[in-house]
Amino acid sequence: MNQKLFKVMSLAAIAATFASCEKDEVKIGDTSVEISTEGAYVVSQGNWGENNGSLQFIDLINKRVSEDIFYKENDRMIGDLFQDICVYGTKLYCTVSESSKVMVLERSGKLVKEINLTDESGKPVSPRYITSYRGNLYFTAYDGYVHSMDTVAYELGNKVKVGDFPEALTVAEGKLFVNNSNHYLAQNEKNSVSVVDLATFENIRTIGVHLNPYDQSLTAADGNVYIVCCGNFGQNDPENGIEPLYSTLVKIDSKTYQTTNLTTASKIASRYDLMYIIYNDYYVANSLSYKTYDLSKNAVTNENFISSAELTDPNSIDVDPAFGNIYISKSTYGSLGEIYVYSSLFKIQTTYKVGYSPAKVAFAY
Amino acid sequence: MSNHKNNHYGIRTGIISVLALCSSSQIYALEAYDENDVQAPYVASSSDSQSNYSSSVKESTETLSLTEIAEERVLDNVTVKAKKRTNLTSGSPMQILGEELLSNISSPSLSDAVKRFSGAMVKDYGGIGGLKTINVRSMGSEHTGVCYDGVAISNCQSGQIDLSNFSLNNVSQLSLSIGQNDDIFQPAKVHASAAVLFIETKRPELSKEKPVYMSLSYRGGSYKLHNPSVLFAQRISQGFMYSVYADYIKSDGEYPFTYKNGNTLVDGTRTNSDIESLKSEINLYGNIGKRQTLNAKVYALFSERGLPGGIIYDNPYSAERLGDRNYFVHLNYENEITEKFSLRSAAKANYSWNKYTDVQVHSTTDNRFEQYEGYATLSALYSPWEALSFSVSQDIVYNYLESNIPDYVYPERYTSLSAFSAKYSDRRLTITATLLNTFIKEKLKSSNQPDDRKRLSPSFSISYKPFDVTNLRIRASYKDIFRVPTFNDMYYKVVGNTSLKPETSKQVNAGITWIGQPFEFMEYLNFTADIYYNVVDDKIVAFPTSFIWKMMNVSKVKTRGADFNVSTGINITKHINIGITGAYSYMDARDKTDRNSDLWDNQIPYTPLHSGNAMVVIENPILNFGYSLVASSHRYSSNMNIAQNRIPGYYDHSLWIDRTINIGSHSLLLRADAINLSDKNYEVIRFYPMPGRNYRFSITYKY
Repeated sequence: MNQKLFKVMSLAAIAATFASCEKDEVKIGDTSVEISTEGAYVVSQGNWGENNGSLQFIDLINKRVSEDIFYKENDRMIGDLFQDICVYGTKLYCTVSESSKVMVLERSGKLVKEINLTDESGKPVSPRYITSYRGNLYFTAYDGYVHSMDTVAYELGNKVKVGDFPEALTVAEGKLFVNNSNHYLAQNEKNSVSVVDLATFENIRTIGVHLNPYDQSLTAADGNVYIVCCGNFGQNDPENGIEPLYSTLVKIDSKTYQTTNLTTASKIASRYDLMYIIYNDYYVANSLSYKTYDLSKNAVTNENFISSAELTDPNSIDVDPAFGNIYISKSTYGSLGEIYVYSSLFKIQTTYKVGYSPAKVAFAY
Repeated sequence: MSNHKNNHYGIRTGIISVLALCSSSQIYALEAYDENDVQAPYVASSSDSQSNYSSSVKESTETLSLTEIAEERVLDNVTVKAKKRTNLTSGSPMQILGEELLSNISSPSLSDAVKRFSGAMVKDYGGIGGLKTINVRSMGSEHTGVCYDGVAISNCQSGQIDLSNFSLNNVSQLSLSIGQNDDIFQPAKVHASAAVLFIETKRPELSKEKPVYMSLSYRGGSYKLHNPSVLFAQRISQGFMYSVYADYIKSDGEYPFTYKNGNTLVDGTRTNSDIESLKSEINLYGNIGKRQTLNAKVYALFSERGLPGGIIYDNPYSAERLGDRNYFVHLNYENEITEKFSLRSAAKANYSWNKYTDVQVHSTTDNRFEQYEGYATLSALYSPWEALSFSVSQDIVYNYLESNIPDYVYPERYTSLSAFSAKYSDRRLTITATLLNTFIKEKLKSSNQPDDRKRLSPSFSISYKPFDVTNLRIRASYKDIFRVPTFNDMYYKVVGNTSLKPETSKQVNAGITWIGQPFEFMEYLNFTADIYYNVVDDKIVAFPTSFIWKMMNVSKVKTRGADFNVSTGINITKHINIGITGAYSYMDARDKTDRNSDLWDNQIPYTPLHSGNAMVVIENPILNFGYSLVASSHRYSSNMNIAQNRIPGYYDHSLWIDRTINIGSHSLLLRADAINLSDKNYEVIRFYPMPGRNYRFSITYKY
């Protein structure tokens, strides 16, 4: 009997010693890629709440993608929802939205400075998109401000009030154009673009635009601002009085502030006179298309530069300013992301495996 | 043995009256007699031992002793305690945790007991206030129904029942039925889930001699836990009694944790993890004559808690709060009209209210939801011959959800469930078959009405005892069922999708059960083993499409698994007993959505390949000692099985001691627990570290 008891107790003891000591490691991409100016940074936002944003580098010469260089250099993950990056001077400036911080990195990915952003009462402000102008960085945040930061001491400077949920922003004619989105909690200044004069750092104007300007905003070669307003994603429900408002490319004249709706668009990138467009409206069946719009001719010049069957689930589009290659990210439910690279003649060049929810390719030169 | 058999039939009428007192689930007690020949030897020994480990033998043994006192009890029906079921004859897996085993789990939450079931994972977000839902055989929380004292509990808003809203202090029996339910005399709703968790509350035994029962208990512990509870019962008259129960919990829930972001240590304290809740109920139990019973329950829950959220690197802010109010009334009426024909009916009115608040820099959220439910069921059981019975059951459910969210659609849902069942049962063979018809109609405030839903769901099971000499049973079952999209799936702001199809599940199970006394020193040894295969299709998930997230019917999951349960009781001396229970689950749950996807054949999130638990209890007159283990192999937090998504496996060890002091009819139980001895902040859900080593003590006075 006592033997049995002993056996039972030893079993329990054995079980007790099996304390687990497994280690998680992060391994995507090539460990031997060297950082240079001949390359591009890939922002993978990661999945919400999973702290798995990542930063990778594409070596354009050898056509290889690195591992997560932030993790490699700093022994930790960059955080939750790595929203945007701005390559400026010798540094990288990153906004991490859910982790509510701005980070200054060396081009290698090594952390220089990290600023946790909260308001006076400790609430996180969720920085969103970031851009640069004449030695300063400007980023939007969900406290309804555009914040500024210098590039010497990396200190936060003044901030200026815009809409409740400001998103993408761009600089044109010495002014910031800030998308004020139609976030469902937004009360003030939604569906508009705020104009901030960078000389005085004052909000000088609010431009009404098509419903829900969101994460796309750029200044094209013609000096004008181009944004995407998502509308209601094409929802058509006449019985309930809902008319479809499609996702639309909107031109804002940077001098006169006149707005023009150009064509349907969801994600945009531009080089010279050409706008590269991904269009995909949730409520419009089979709406996925890849098209080009010529800004000088005011016309769609190619309806399908890639077939929608060839590349499903696109998430972002960027164009290499030097060589004209087109970088389209693909984010499929549950899977790691990919970057598809096409030549300016729309021939597939290569693909790269990247982190979750890739959202931007930022060129290093 | 033949003596027992005679007994069995001889007092059958009496038994049925006894059974009819309780919820329909007691029909199992009757089936237990098939196993009498094996149970007989244990009657004597079990009367000596203070406790048993929920084993079926104990269940059955008590049923047996029930036969002896049944007639006496029928005379004064108030005293009936019979709350026993057995998993032995069941054609599909039925695991039972009886009062004795439950008393070994000292936790304010029911979820710590549910972790003892093989094949069931509790999604535990950590802390006493954290959300805890049950996921059986990787089919998803929405596929498990919960039945509280015979009446289904539902949540039309999210489809998930939060187990932390139920107190373990008041539970006398917890059972989990997977697949086809053998008890055909049940509300149709019991047949409408892939698995059902039955919660049976305590019902003290009263008599003319002892007309009052009282239990006062206080539990305290780490993280400023205070958990007093009281159960009071009184006999009103011949055939009638009532009970009052109240359970209060308060804890600040602030526990320290260590966590690693890569190789960087994140030290922190769980904040906004406090809870304060009060659960209370009043029960009335009555017998009208010998053939009718009427039970009524009034239930109220108040709860206020913080939702700490997952760890977000570099941002410890957390301000989400959840308030719950839940009130319901239910009535249960049963009438054994003739020996061959019985009726049972139940009705329930339920109101629940919840309030979610969050304070962020840009806005303050205050979302309120109110659920209204009306439910009625009527079942008839007809047994033309000894071995054959038929049942028909009709349920009607009405659900309505209100919210203060702007432009809310105010959905109403009418559900009709009709079940037709047949059962054949003799000493060797039990066969049951059920056909369930579901009809659902929904109405919205806006003009766009979703389509009606209709579906027929078949299920059947068979259990066979091949040999006379050994108490081995072979079983097999099949069930085809579905879960309808919840109101959140269909109407939640932005992500809701009204065109969702039901999420279907098909289950096949085969297994053996065995009970016996292989060695002299063993009181009994009980063993069950099952292998299963299930397919969940059209799984409803939040799916990103065209740059926005929507609820979609996208994925398909195939699971191959095996569950093993073993329990034994060993008498070392007349006064020293050891009880051991163990459960092991193997669960190979793969994504079978798209062969060309990276996710094809990956283990689905939050399903460990191996998991198990064990409990050893050593009882003696001086100090009882217990050890418990809950263990799991690694899991993945996301669909892709890469290192980044891997959550390490864990072992959670606990130890306790207890001592009962009896003075006349008063008893005092003192107990101390040390929980999670290895002090690891392991994760069940990624970024929700569990509390490290913590302590509890409790004192219970009973009269």
